[in-house]
Amino acid sequence: MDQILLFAVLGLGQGALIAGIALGVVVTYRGSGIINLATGAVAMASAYIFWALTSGFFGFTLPTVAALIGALVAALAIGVLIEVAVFRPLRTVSPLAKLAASLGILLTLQATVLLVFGTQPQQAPSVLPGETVTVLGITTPADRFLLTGLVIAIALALGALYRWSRFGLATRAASENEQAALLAGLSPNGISLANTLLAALVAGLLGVLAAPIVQVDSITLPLQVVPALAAALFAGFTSLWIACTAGILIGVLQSIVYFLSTQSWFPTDNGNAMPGLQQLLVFVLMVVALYVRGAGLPRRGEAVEQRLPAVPLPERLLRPALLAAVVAAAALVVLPFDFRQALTNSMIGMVIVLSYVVITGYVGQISVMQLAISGTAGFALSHVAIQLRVPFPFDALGATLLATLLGVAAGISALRVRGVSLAVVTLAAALAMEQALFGNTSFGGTAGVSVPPPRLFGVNLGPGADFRGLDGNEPSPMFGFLVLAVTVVLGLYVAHLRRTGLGRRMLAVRSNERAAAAAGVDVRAVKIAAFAISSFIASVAGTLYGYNFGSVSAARFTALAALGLIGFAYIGGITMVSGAVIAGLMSTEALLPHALDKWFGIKGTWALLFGGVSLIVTLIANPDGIAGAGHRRRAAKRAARAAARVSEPDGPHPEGEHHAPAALDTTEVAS
Amino acid sequence: MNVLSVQSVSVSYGGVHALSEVSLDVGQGQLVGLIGPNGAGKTTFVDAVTGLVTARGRVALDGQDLTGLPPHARARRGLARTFQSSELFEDLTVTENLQITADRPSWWRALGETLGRRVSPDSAATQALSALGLEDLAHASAHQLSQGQRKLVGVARALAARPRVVCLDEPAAGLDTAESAELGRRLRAIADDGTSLLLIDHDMSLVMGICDHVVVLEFGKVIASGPPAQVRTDPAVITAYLGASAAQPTAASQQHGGTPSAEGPSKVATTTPEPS
Amino acid sequence: MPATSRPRRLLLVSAVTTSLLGISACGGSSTPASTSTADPQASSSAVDSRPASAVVTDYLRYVGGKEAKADKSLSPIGLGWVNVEGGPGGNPEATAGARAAVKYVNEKLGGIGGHPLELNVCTVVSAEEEGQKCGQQLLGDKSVSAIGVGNLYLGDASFNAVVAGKKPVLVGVATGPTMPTAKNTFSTFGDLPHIFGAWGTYSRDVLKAKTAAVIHTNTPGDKIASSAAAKGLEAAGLKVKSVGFDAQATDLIGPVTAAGASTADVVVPITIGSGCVGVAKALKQLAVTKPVVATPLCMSPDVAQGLGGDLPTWTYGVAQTLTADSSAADSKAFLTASAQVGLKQDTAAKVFAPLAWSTVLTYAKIFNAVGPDKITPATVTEQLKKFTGPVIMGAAEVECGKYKDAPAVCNDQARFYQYQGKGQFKPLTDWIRPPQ
Repeated sequence: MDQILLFAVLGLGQGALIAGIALGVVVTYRGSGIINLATGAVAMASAYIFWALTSGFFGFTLPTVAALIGALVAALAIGVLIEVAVFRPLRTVSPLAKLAASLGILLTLQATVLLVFGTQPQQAPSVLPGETVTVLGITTPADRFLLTGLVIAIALALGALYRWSRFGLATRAASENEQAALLAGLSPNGISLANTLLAALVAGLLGVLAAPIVQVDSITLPLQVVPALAAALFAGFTSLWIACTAGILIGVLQSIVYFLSTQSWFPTDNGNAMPGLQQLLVFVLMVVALYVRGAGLPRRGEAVEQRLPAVPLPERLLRPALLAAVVAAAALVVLPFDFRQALTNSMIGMVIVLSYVVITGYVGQISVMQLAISGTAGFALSHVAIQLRVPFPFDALGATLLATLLGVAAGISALRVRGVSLAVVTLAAALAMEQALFGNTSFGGTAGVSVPPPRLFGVNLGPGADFRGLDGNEPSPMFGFLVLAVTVVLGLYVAHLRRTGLGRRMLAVRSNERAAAAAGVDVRAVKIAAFAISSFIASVAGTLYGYNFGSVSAARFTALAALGLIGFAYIGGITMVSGAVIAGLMSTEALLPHALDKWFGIKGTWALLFGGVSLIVTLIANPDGIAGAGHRRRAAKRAARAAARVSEPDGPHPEGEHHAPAALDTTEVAS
Repeated sequence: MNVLSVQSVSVSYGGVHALSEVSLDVGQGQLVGLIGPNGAGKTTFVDAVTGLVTARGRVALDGQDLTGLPPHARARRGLARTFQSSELFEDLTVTENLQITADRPSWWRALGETLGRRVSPDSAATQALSALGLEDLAHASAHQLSQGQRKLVGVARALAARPRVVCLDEPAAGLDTAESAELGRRLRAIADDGTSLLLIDHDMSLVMGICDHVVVLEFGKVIASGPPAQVRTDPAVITAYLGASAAQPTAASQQHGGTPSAEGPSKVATTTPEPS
Repeated sequence: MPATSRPRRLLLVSAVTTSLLGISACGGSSTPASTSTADPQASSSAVDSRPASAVVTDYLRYVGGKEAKADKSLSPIGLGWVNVEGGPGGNPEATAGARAAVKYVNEKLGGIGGHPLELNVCTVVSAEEEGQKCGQQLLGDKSVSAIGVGNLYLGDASFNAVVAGKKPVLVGVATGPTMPTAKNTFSTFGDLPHIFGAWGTYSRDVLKAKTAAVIHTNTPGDKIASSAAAKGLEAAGLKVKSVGFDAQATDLIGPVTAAGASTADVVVPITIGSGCVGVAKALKQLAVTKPVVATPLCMSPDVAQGLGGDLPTWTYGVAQTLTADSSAADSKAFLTASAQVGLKQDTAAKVFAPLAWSTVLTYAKIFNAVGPDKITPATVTEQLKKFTGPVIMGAAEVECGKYKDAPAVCNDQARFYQYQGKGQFKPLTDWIRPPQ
């Protein structure tokens, strides 16, 4: 019927945008081996500049063509900055670290546009003509066809460039075997720069031209990278024309799905159309792409450092934990109410980051959906407590169990996917859960759901409990003690995990899966165990969130929030419990941002900017994170002291000291 | 009954036959050498036996067929190996590396250990270290070791599993003459103690000196098999190594003393395609 | 991540739409204390059937105050105020209106029995967590016995979880989805879902429509509102097709077509800002000429800007007298009085400023009735329960608790204006009730 045709044509606009960003992703990968999560953000920045130039934001107005050129120049400038500041220094790190760096770029760009242009979403003027044309009996805006045609033309031009030009040949050579290309006299830096600029140009152009169909804000365009990644997966991150076609088809499919969801026969959610269908579609397509293409990405044979962030053995566990607990408990009573709340928020943040320490720090897999597991636990808690009327603590345990099972199921289905592909597919899963699961009123409520306070033997343990701190206000330190107890127990568990056989096997899997299998490690079982533990911890955090606010809403568990937390986890030190503590102190509404806001008036957007830049700096200069750097310094001091004790070569080491003193180098066997 | 019995194993990548109908047996306490020119398929053979590549043919350990078992299951049954590029677990100490193979985990025990139940450390790790003279390095971090030390730790790691048979892929590469001889002595002692060894190496004096039996591969096929003295003078072997014109009875191999392996001792390793 | 985890603008939409609820015409109000000097020059007041006593223009008599300044030496009386502003969306004009009202009370109405009134303001910028922080802050302030709310479409869930009825909450329009069911909460203008009944009556009786197309943004508040709209229209016997769209979408040809706007008898957009612009553009591209009955959320300046200068010439259903209605005496009184205490006229023209003004003055009336020395949460709640109107620029009579599923909602009537362009609003109907 022609209605479907109309919606298919309408979907061409979205499809062209996705295809354009997919082209940018593929070009960047071929040029530098980096999967650039920030490609959509480059489109966003370009669109903002275009809007600013045409609306007089900077004090002057330019005509459309001049503004378009200005926006493209800005995109190129951003490309140069990305290449020089991020891609080049990180040429030799692991692919996951490169992905994390592109996350840093994404956060930095988002924060920058928010700080410069403000938080109001804007509407950029159209560049393409806005008339309608009548095709096959349906009336549609002409710009859809123009946009699609333009993207196809760009894809063809790029394809021709790569096939028939010297530059294209050089890129293809480098993308197959970077070392050999280096030996042949090609410069990987130059190739990478050229490709990054091309990608920025394409993304920027699409960002400006897509103005008629998306508004200009800090979320919409950056998130277009997710369907673009699905298209790129179909293309194996290699084929330009598959990426272009897949992108256009994804846009058309999304539009058709939308149309179908408005039909009366389509299942509804409380009278409205089912939410999140488009994100669910993207996730399903990504899974199909991984299945069809295989989970491996084309390797570049580049010179890669094998070192991942260090995971030192913890020395003493109980003493520092008890000390920290006592200090925190005292702070909960003494601090004024807003800082008390911030401390509680920090501790819940620490628990969430602990789940990242297990899955990413110990096993080396980036899973973006851990925060969505937290959300599932929170929502489940509300349903279990209110609809099923289960009392505390069984409602929390039940909700945790349900969400953990979901996490384990996800882990089992993802066993064949690893590395960057896992990060990408869990990002799509997180988005799908955010929109389709949490947005569905039967699970997520119409605007969130409420959570009754935890009561044990009639005593209220929630933020509204009777026991008050020094200033007599809510929240009650009683809830803070509950959170503190949970945090300390889980922190000790994760730290101790490093010392156990399972912890060693996790690190073996992270280090070298093949050698681990040959050494007798059941890699699949270890990964499942890691997913189980990580999901359990994330679920516990989700229930704590619910009790903390007395309500659960989808806004707290978005995919972008998850990415931000991963960023903070890297900055703190993703392999250590002390890193989780630092990251928790930096998370939303935690002690550090609250103090900065209250004492210096520095608002949350600056925290976003700080997070993005710090993440990049951390990955370049200090991959072990703040906690790792602190640990290295302490170990070096101990080594210096040990070296000073010359007369006692077998002197007692501090309990559990496992770092060899610097003297080892002199006994090295000559090789 | 042979500890390791490999029958007609073949591996092909597309049209390339990396291995064709290779058979080999390793008896109890035997030290079998596997030699051949570069590209003969020695490492592929070990990969096939340990299950890291798909292969046709039959592999049996103590009479039990290993066909269809994943690599870690084969390792658990007692089939250990080392890698050419040592491939230690970088984030762990030497002792922890050995504990990976020494541990015999079950779900229940692993869970209990994470919850705090004490598990007494296995002595296999310390014994393997002393078997190779590496006691000093027990608490060293893997990335602080020299290339030679890494190879030795790799061997120790394989031994810590208390295996029935160990496949050693060029353990002497990167060692000088004296170290190589020392390693040979230790390997002989290990074999005499009862652990079967399959030794791949380019160091002729090492192989000929300590092996009970030698098998020679060329282009994926077995071209000779027998005691060292017999293989040393086999004309097919000499042809394979030195060319047809060098088929002389006293052509004791000129290769001695630690021919460096292709990879070299650098800390930078090229990535290999991910196994799917 | 504070900025990236902010909810979509849809909540803003719901906030705006709900503000326009609940002006109902009731005959025979039993509250005698209202003004007696009603302005008779409302030329189309033949359409406004509220009794003159319900059109509040004499604030002195309304709050029961004295024409004097408040005595600064007496202890101040705290009034909590929470509003969403300072972030992506939000209505700072609400706080501006509240502050103006407080100033007016202290300068022209003699404070509260001489005691100055003081506003304790807490704002929610962009995160749900801040609602909790505001709840804790206002609960913790001992001098605050009651809380007023501007536009709390974000953070309301955690705010209400914290306050939980411990102090009374008075709000103009209950925008946040948890407000209509919150404990000890009173909404003098009601909420959006409960005025859509009037849409049904209007469409059936005035427009003689048989089919309706409802197009709404997919935010929680707008989804609730659109369900209510569909129910209201169906209760009047119309066939309704309701279609939602993503807030980020700016090209709405698809949703407008899917809703059947080309063939329906009446089109009801439930959206805000760029959504209104998108719907207007799509309707123009599809050459739709049937009446469009929208909510005042589409009456904001950015909509006019997006359409190249002026608001779309649609029909708007509102639940308060518009400040742009030159025939309404109470609006004129508000504009004059607020100008006296320095409220800028363009701020006063924005929807939430008069709502906040009305809320604060209602509290002044309540506080005066309780007596300045006896103001506690319990006494204020008691007095609020007895309040039955009239509401400044709102209903003549309110009945809170009328709807068991939404005890905070006090109003369910609306009035329809036609926008004629260039700032001219023509009242089309009397106050309309939901269909019986």
